[in-house]
Amino acid sequence: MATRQELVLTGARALRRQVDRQRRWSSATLWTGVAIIGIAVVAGVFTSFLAPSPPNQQNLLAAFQAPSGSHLFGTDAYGRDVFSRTLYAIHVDLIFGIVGTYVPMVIGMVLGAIAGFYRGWRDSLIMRLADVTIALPFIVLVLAIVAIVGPGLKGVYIGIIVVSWALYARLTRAEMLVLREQQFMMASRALGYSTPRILFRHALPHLIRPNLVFSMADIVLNILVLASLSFLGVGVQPPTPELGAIVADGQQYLLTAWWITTLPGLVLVFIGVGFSLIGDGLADRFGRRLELPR
Amino acid sequence: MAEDVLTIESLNKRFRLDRSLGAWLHRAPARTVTAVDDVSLSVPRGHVLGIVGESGCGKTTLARCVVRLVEPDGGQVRLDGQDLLALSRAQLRAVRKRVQLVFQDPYTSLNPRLTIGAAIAEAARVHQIVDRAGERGYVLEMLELVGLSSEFYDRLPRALSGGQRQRAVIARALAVKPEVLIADEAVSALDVSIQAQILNLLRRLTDELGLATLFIAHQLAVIANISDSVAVMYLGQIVEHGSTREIFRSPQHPYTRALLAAHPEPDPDRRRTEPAVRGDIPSPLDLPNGCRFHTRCPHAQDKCLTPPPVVDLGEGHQARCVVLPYAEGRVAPATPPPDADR
Amino acid sequence: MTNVPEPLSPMAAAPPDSPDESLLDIRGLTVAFPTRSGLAVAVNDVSLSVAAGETKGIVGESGSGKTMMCRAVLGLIPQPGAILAGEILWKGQDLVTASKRDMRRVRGSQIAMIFQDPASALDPVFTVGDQIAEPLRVHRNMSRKSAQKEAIDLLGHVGIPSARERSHSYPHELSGGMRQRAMIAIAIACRPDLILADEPTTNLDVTIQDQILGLLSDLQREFGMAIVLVSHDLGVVAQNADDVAVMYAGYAVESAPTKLLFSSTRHPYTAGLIKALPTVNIDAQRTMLSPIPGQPPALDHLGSGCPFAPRCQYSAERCLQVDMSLVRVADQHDTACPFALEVMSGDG
Repeated sequence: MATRQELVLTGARALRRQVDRQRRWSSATLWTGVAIIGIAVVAGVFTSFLAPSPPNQQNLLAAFQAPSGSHLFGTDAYGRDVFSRTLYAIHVDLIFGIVGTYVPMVIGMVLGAIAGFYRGWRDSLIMRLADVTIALPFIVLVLAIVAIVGPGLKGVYIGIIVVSWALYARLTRAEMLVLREQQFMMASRALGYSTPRILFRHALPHLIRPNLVFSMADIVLNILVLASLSFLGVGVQPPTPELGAIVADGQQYLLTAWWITTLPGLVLVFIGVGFSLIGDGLADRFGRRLELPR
Repeated sequence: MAEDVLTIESLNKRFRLDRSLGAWLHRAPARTVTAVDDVSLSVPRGHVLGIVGESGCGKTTLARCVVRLVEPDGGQVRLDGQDLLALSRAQLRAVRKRVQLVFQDPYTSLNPRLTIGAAIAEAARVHQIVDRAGERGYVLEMLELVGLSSEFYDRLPRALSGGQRQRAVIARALAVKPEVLIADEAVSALDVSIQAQILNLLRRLTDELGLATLFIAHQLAVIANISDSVAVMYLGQIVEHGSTREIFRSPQHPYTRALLAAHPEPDPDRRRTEPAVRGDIPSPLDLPNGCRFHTRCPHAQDKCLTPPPVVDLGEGHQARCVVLPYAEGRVAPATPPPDADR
Repeated sequence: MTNVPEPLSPMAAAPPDSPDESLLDIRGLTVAFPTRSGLAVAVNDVSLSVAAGETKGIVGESGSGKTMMCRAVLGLIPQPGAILAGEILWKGQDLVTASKRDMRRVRGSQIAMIFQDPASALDPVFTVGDQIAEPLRVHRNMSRKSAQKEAIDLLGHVGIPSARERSHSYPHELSGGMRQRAMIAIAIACRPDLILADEPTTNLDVTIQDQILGLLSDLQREFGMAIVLVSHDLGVVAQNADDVAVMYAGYAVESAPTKLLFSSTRHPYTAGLIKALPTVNIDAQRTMLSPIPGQPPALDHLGSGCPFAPRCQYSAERCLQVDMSLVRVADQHDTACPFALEVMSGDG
């Protein structure tokens, strides 16, 4: 008699545990990412308070010092404090990561939404443009722009905005094609709402989530792009600190002064992992819902 | 009879299919799907016109043509004498509020991010039916009209069941004070116990607000319950049209009879017999010649191979059949004989 | 905390009608899904038996658990749901505890399933003929050639014209009705003893529904298989089933031979459903239908007692104590409402 009841109760408990475990795991992912990026943002915003010395202050007498209490990350060939330079570099890289991701995202979302909503010639025009942009090798394009405007952050910003919008436009258009068939979109038309109202008030909010998830991976990529361009010498120009540039500077001393390259490199890895974890956590939270299958 | 609010006259809609590259190279003619073929109907105030038919019969396209969510190829849709098809896009937007649609799927017809109150308020605000101050009161009034309590004002659609959502959709439609309500399969996705609630609601609203309601469904029993008159559609055409009583008591088109026979009545004493009709519905890409039902019709004869005229059976009852009304003596053979050249 | 209603009834409350004859015997089946807001009990202590060769109708609205019960029989409960308790006896063998190998042997060859949506239940990249031949080759070790030949015979059998050509068609080349016929051909390929038909005609037009139901009853007469016909449509069940079980919120609330169910209804929910149904009989049509007030309960927030009580016209304080086990009110007629005879006697 009691056995059936016990069975049901233990089974129910096991199911709950399983679901709780999944939920805890996905929120642990999200919050770990948020914590890492939180630290990076604090470092990037309050750089001048946190840095022990200005980024470009040279002290040739103190060159190649190993990490210690006074120089957390050691010093480089000019005796500059690598920790301070790293903090300033985080500032530069985060701003680039965020601006270089969200400006193209807004442009891409608007263009993609228009393409998917109107279809027809607007769609063809915008999407063929996107195809061309995506087909161009990015580094070659940036090199070409740099050749025109001269080396420096400006060229990289222009290059990234010219290229990155296309992926967001594709993503948004695909989502829009699904969305426009939803009956509430048709209902909005039948209610006599204007097209801008339908597009911006009723459609766009639904398109933000997938773009946001994608943008987390994109920020990481963009920071890496800046780092590799700086590494190649066409990005941020010395002596401005930038993580890729610092890594590049230190690589010739890798065997004698490993810290110049390794420690800022690890910081770069942590920031990358942080954004990826947020992306995964958001994808879990937005995408998968535990609901009773119908 | 009351004046007709909505009049549809010889409405046509064909969809042209995109040709494949191969077909284009072979200069094959573009294929067209006939969705709505020469449909004429009218709905007076306080009247429910039921449109029944199976998938592909064009009933949904018809509804969408009326509000120009789909642009018809020809014909007229008159609202109080004004031809909607002659309006420019900008003029149309203002007129659209007078004809409101309720869709089949209550799960996707509300924006999942707007609260019920906000969705209804927006509709009223866009058409300047209330000012900001009176907005909340107006929305609550609309909610009450469809039987939702004020606690639904701040809820999101996902917190509502299917039936409650459909009520909210109806409230939103009514908020712009329409004269015509088109319910396109509005109860098909609902459970039986809830379906009856919504049917009663639509009937009551039609009577109380003097709406002209076009009620589209594939379930005969639902149509029989709510409609004052019924049009039966098959492959884009209206094959029979008349008062609900006439259509269900003495159907004069074999297709109407087939629908009735196939309808599963909840009566265990009426066990299944032979299937009412054989064969599949022909593709609307490739319509049969003559009477469109002749490929499945148990009464088909040679004369059915020419397009049948509409036979008038009196009191507004019409059927597009040249066999049954004569065979059953509803029309004397002397009255206009089926004209082969029509 | 869980929301499993207590106390749970002993399963002995509803003994199978004739244990020796029953092919499938479900006892005290409980299936649950974890959700954000708690545990949703989709099937709650349901007992049911199906005799060889009979048609058992299961009627219920969405969320009543009818589909989950069918799926449980074949061990196809979607993640993260699980069977928490109960037995599913197939010819005496418990399928809940059966090994994967034993389960595979039963699936498809002894018990076959027909789904609601033939468009997605058929694989779009294989021809219909291949898909019918596949179970024959898997379960009956037929050669490719003879399986293909048998597939064509089966297609003809389920009323698909020019079966030989059609066996080379892909699912998208067939109409909805033809696809469902092909699904049925796959289901009967191994001559199963039981077919689970889950809303087999819900997506079809009424004239096609009529043909498919006719086909199923013809095949049943020919092969003597049992059918579990799951539907939300009382009319479909009324005209096709020998016995009917009515489900509500995961519980079986009434079970009876079809005629008895309609002529002397013994559960307020069944009675409400029948009254809410519009009819094509224009003379008997009431101008206003009598809907069941309110909404079905959320399965993760079931309180104690009868889940129908909040919508029931006869509900009273005592309904909170009802344990939802079936009570026998007449020969072969069970109801979960212990007050049915008292409150509903006379009307039907």
